Amino acid sequence: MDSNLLWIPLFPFLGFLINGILGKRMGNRTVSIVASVAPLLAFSVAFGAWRKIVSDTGVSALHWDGFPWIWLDGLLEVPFALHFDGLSAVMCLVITGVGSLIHLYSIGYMKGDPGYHRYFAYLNLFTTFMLLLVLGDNLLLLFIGWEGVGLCSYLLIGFWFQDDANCAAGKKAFIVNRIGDLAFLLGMFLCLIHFGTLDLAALVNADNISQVATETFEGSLFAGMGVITGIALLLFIGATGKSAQIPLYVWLPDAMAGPTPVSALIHAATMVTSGVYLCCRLMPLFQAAPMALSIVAVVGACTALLAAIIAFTQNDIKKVLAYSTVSQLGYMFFAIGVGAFSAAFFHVVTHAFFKALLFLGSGAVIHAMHHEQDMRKMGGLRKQLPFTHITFLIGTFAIAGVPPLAGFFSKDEILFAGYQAGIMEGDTLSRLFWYVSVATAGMTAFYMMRCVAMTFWGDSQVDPKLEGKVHEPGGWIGFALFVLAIASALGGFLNVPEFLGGHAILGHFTGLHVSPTDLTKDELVALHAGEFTSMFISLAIAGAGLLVGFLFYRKGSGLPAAFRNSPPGAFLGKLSENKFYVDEMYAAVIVRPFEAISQLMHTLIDQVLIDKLLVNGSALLVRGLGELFRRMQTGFIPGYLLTFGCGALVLIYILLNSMAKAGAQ
Amino acid sequence: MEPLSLSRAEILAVLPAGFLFITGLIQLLSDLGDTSKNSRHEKTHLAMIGATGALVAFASLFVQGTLASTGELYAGAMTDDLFGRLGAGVIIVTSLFVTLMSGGYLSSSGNNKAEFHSLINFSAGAMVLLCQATNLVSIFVAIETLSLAVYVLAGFFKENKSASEGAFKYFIMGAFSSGFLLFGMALVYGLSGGSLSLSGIAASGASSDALFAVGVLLVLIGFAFKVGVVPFHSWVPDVYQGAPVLAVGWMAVAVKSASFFALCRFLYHSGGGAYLDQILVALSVVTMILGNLAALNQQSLKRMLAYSGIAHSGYLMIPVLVALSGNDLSIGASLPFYLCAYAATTLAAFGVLTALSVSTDRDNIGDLNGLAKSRPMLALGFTIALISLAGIPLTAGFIGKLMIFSDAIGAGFIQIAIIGILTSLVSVYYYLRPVVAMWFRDPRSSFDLIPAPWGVQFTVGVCGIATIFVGLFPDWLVELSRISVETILG
Repeated sequence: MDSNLLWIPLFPFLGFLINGILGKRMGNRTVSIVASVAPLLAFSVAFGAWRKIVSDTGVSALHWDGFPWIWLDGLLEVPFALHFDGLSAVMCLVITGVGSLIHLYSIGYMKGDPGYHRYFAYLNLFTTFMLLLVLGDNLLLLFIGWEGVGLCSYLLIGFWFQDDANCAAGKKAFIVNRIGDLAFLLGMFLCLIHFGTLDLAALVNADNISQVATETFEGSLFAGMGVITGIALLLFIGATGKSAQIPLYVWLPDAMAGPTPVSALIHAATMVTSGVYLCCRLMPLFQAAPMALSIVAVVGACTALLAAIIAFTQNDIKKVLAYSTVSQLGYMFFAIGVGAFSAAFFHVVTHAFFKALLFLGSGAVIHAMHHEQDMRKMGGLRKQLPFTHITFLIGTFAIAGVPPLAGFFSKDEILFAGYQAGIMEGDTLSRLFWYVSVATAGMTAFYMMRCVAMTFWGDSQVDPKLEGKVHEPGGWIGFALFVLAIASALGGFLNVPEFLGGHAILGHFTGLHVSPTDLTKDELVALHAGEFTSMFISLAIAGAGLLVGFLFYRKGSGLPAAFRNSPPGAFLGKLSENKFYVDEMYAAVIVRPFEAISQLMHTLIDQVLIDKLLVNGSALLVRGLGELFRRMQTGFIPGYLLTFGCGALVLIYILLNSMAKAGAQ
Repeated sequence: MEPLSLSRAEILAVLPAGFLFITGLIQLLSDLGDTSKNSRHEKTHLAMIGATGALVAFASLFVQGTLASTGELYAGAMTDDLFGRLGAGVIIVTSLFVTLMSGGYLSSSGNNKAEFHSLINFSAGAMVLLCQATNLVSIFVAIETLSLAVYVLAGFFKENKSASEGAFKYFIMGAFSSGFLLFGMALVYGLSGGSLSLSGIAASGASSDALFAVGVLLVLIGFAFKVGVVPFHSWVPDVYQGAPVLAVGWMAVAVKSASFFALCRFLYHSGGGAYLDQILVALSVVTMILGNLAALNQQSLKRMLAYSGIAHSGYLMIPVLVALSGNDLSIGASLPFYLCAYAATTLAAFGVLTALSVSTDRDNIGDLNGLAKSRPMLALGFTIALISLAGIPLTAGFIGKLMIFSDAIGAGFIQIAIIGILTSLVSVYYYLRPVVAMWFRDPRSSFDLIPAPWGVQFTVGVCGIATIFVGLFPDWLVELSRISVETILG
């Protein structure tokens, strides 16, 4: 019982209330102080709680019993309770830690914006919901956070709502997420029906799972499918919405319409990883559904590859990073699919560091370039923005997997898990997906190199009018970049694998690490050999990607143009540039038919049937009757008495009639 | 001849009514030197005497000190139980508010005579007795006593032609319906083997006799007339329009409550309701439909409220029906609850009407235009009353309708609940018309409201708050109603 836990989401919420209600009158200075102190306080509380569970007192988790929230005796009992174990501890620290940095960064980035207080209020609210998501001790509370971050994401994507495109992007994000949320809800209902509870601890309880595992959807369309598989798949569909996986990833690139710090916090570091968090949180449930896991692996690998290909040809610096995020999230789900939950979660953490760094770096560039996001109009910026260049480069190497930066360790773990599943023990399909993931690793290195080269190297393509005005951002922006660069460089040491002499601290701490047990010496050697092989391959592929990227995009190289002129290059380039026409396909198959049906409903059902016939018609009928009754009131007593007497006679008739019937029976 | 000896319970049982009668007498005496010249004065002492009397009478309701029935008193003429006391409480509180409003209202038109005040108290005393009456004679005497007083109240403005006309119509129709009532009682008396007391009638086992059933029906018609159930409602609009606003308010709340309480007691105790299901369904349905539809196009607020009152009588027939047919004692509690809620709401509404008629004799909905700007508190009070009458949530009226309809559904009368819900949907239209006029229309410049008398302000305020309070915290009143119904059904 630890009621201090409540303060973790409560501090940002207070920040939201203060900035939301009084922000307009307080002045930007006060707003910034309130907004950034709130997550810092939350961070310190979370840090204290973390200290408690790592200290050797035998306490592995903190729990706040809260209060009864939805309470239908025996039917549905949901408390408002918070749970703080290793998994939520790490998430909390990342959310409040990276979140605080991004709040500080925003102070510089959003300076002078007319919606300053609104922005920070939303950002605080987002932090609240995100913390609720990771702290909730039951699925419903988690879902509240899940919906809440979706709402804040919508609000912040459309933050500059004067521009229609931003609003459209916000709506797209919201609607696409709703589709996923529907599946999430259905999954939740299934949990309620079959487990009888939404309590997370009960959902991952081995006894409960083995009991439910025997149940199937007999007599329905999905006869033969296990209930656990159904739950896992539905929750995963929910996760594909929030975590931008095929087929629901399309909202994330458009979400770049929001302010860049928002992209860093929500659309890279925290919210989009909540799907991965969900899977990790329910690890035993997913492990009991192997079929669902293989679907997760397939979806993850395909998403990783597809997004990486699209990232090749994007010219908007934020779009590159957005597709890269989709691709990295795909990696995480691939890891989950092959059973490496620990690796997936490790990648969540390191990705939070380096992707936030990359986004904030791109934000610094965009800020310096007066909101120019097209990389073709950049180039050579390393001279004007040396500090940003260095930190961006660190981020790039981290994501590409250059040792000993953060991404190396986490990506290596994922690739090894894939190697183990595909090469060491798998079938053809899993082998194929391992190849895909390795190829994607190389492509990641390549497109990130392209991004760095186009932005910072080469000849300047900067608009002459801007030339000379471009300068290094200072203050909080620089500070945030600095801290995140260090985190990206060193974050990998959180979970150094055992064969490299580490202890996989993170994996053990979060309870996701699955240690191989009862291995003979030979098997252990084989395992380690596999790990070395895999590491070597991943290093080689990352190096190759970086090198090819450098050769392609170094100063004066004609290779990109040459490649585009070759027939396969032209074909692939066109596909990639147009993002495989997925948006167009969705528009043709789903959006437009839907709109047509809506239009039909509107004119036929709503306007004609309901408005004209039913609403106006019934109103006319009622009024006509009313007028008739009004006129029946003539004012003459004989008439009144006649009504009275006749009424009495009719009633007597009814009475005698009903008595006769009763008597006859 | 035996010396008269009364038990303690018997003395206590007549205390409330007795205090009210005495108060009426004191008011008459205190104003003996009255001339027509000073009937423009507010005569605060009358209100003070009336208020004191009402408070004492109200306090005396608690003296008996038990929730259970005392059994038959005065050789079976009356009883004293929670059901009767709840009815008496509603009537006494209503009389308190009407008394407080009377002085200011009557003096503004130069009609402030003590008779009005004491007639209110006399009729209140008769109503309290009606709620407690348990034999045919005492029921009839109580009804006639209160009716005579109310006839006079309705025609109190002698110079006003339409008031006199309404009162006269009311009197003739009332005499006609009394004939039905008395004839019905005669049939019941005769066929039950000469029993006057309700328990005796129930014990006679005459309930399956057709003529007996007709007798019960005729008594029901007598009551139906009093509460304005279709087709015995014709007097309501005419009387409401002509009579003094306060007399109308008094009729709408007190007469209706007392009649419903007495009707329930009559039906449940006499065991005569065995074949009335279809009758009650028919009356309720016709009344709900006609009352609500006829209210739609009324321009006069008084007439609109008259039809609204008719419609509410229709809703109130539902719990009578449900309690008669149901074997579950927990249902049927909606009747006392609804009457309490209706009393608070209607008093607030008539308070506002009183305030309006103090300054102008017009009562068209259009005259309310822009009231929210000139008199926001009055407009607020009226709005609360109207939305409660319409049965919109957060008000007592909503809880009342909710209970009625859920009781009906619980007892299997689903169709009647659907009709009730549909008609109350229709009613929202005419209840919101004045609201729209008050808040969203520009004021007409033609008249200026003089400040409402203090009694009116007090009434509107207290009843408006009570309406919301009961809407938010209904539990205690629901529980009270439930226990009170159990005392007569159980």
